Amino acid sequence: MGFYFAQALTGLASASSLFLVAAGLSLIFGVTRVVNFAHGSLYMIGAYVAMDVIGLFGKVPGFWLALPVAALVSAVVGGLIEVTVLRRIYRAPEMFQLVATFAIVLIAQDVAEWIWGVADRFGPRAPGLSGVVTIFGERIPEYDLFLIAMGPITLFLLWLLFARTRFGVLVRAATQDREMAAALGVDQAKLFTAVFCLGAGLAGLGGAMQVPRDAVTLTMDLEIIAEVFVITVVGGMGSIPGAYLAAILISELNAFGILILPEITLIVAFAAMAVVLVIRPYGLLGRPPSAPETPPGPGIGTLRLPAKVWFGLLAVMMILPFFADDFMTVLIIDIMILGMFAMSLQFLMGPGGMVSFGHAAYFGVGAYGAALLVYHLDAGMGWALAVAPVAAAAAALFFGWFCVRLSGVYLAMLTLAAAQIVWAAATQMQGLTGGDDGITGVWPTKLFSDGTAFYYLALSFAVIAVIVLRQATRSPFGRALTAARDAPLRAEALGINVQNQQWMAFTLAGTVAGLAGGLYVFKKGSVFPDVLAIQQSVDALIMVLLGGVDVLAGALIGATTFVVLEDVFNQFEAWRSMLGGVILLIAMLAPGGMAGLGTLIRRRKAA
Amino acid sequence: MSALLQVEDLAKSFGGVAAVAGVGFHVNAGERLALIGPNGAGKTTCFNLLNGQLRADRGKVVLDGRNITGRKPRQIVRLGIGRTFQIARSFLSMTVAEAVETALDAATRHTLSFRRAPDASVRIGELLEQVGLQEQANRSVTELPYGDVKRLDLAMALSSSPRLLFMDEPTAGMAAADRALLMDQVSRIVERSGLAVLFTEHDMEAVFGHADRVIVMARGQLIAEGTVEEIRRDPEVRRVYLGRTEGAEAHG
Repeated sequence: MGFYFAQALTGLASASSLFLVAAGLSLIFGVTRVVNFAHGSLYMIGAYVAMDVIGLFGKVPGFWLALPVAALVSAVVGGLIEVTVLRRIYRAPEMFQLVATFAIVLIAQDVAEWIWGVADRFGPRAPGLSGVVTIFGERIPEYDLFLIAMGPITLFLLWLLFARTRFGVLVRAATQDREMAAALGVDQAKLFTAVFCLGAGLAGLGGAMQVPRDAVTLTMDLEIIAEVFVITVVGGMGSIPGAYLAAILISELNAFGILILPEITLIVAFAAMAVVLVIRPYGLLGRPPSAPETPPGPGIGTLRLPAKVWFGLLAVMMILPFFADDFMTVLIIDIMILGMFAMSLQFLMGPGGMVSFGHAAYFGVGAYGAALLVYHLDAGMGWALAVAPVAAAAAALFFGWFCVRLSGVYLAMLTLAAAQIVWAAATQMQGLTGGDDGITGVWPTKLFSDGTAFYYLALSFAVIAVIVLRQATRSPFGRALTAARDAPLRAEALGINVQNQQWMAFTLAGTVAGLAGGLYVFKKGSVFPDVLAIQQSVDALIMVLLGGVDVLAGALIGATTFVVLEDVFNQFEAWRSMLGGVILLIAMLAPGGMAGLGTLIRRRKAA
Repeated sequence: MSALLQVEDLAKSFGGVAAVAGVGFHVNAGERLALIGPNGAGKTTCFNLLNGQLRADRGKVVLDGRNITGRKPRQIVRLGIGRTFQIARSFLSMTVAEAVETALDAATRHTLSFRRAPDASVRIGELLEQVGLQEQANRSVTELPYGDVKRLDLAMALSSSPRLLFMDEPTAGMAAADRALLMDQVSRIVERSGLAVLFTEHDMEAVFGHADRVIVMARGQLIAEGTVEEIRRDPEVRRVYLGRTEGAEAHG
């Protein structure tokens, strides 16, 4: 009895930090309609600043000073981000906003590493709260009780702010109806900045509060963001009480789930989210958006490469190995594999209108599917390559069923959560996957161990991917999918089962990603959990963005540019920031990607 | 003769406001029935209930002896009810022919196929000819003048070869001359195919020139039903609706 009680208290204590971060994210989303990927970075900055303050002033009064200072610094950084980046992209499609805030994550990681170094830091216990109290015979850390109290206190203070102050009224007005609030003479720019500062400050405070409990690391930004996404989706985007409720629900499930499924607690959280979303698609306390979400709409132009161009490209690729050296051959194999991965995402995002932040899940399941078969069952390369797309298809069928019930940013957040589950499973199920050590020694058969032979294998797979995806886009399947994207209600009224159409598209995209993943394993000879990580998903998004989301071939252009850029940037220490900078530039200057640039220029000239 | 569509006691409230408060009527096969009434009378809500986009609080909808209450839009279209929309612009990334082909694929449950339906071009041609859009087949939907957008919407609704067609304000937003043209096209289609049409309309010329029968809605309820002549003379209808709009049209 006492043990379960203690476990419940641990859950409540963990809920508080999560609630603060989720409340900030939700608040910012409510007013600006931007899902701030960089929210985890603000949380991380809060934690590091708190460590610095404690270092400067000692444990007393350092710790208690650290909480407000961390919140303040994060708020200022948040304000800077809003003014320099977000303000310029409020009107951009959701995908650009998400990717732009992810670019900030990349830059923040480099800056944090530069300021605070790579070593993990361990904070002191909170002064005055370092003891334990005994309840029901269980020893409960005093600091946990403090954290448990912080949740409702913050909730109450936020309620006061929104119910009793002019600022709060404006925020609520803007959350409910942005246009109306603007028409009433609210200075939107200032309001948005203020809300961003407040949300960022909450994240910073959340980070500082975790210092006595957890290590402060450079990876804590992305570690928390998936969980926070789950909480905001479960609680209902824009609802702060919903965020509290969901934070408690998810933390308690984690606290008890660890007793049942110690290896994969995220699965429990995901299952809870799935149940909630099936019953209440907009979360526990969320409301459906008042205006129908604007569909992604037509892109800059539905460019299609004529078959002639594809055949020309194929001819060039066929003779290329005769002219390229080994290094070039390997680089081009990389491009082909990542190009397949990016094309499958383009199909999902372009014709499908579904932005996935977790497409790596299917690439990774393909990769692990092939590797596990070789490693555990000693299967041949042929079998492994056949199983890779099938395994990915199964995963996409499963997760896609949930994802297509949502749209827009909700869908994006759910895909990310799904990918994090697979990632967690791969890192934690050590017996099966080798955990962080991965699976090594997965080499191609003798026939394909030669670089040139493998090149032609990859080329033939890429050709299959192009044919399948191109045909899918042009066929009745792809057109009905586009119809569902352009006007979902109309599509339903014509007899199209919109969710089913999207589900099948999700599965097809996953299958092709899995095929690419299978090839990837044999190219590298090994697989590690990072093929499933957020970074891998975002890489694919960047490729699609670089090339332009409206054209299948854009994904290939994007993959080529990405591989080359990465190769160049890798020589510098700050390559992540450089990549982030390029993404920000593209998101702000050329929303059609490189394939869209031509059309854009033509339009400008015509206008 | 039993009616093609029988609607009984249909009702829907939004947060305490009864948009449709117990409406009952029928549509005969091959008939053009106009549903008229002032703005906010509940006409569009009524349509959304009939084609399954909204779920009714109570009431019953029977199509040709089959109870279709509570079915989803895509199920209802497959049972033979087509619909056009008040705001007709859709599928902005397609050409006219592509939009119609998509509608045809949807009607024939061909949407998971990777191959074009073999007779697609022929059937697209037929549908476009019915609404007079043959010349526009390869134009982008975004480039169409509004009247042609309405015609495309009609062609898409006809692609499922419905027995009954709901048209929500078919001529709204169109120029006067074009309105008459469109309504003539609709009448020809009806006469040729024996299709029944239920339409809402604010343009009384279109209503009185093309309806076989008229029902009048106000504040969520039916207040009158009859032939065009009967409705024209009905004092209650004149009071709540016609007097005003006819005057307004005349002055406008």
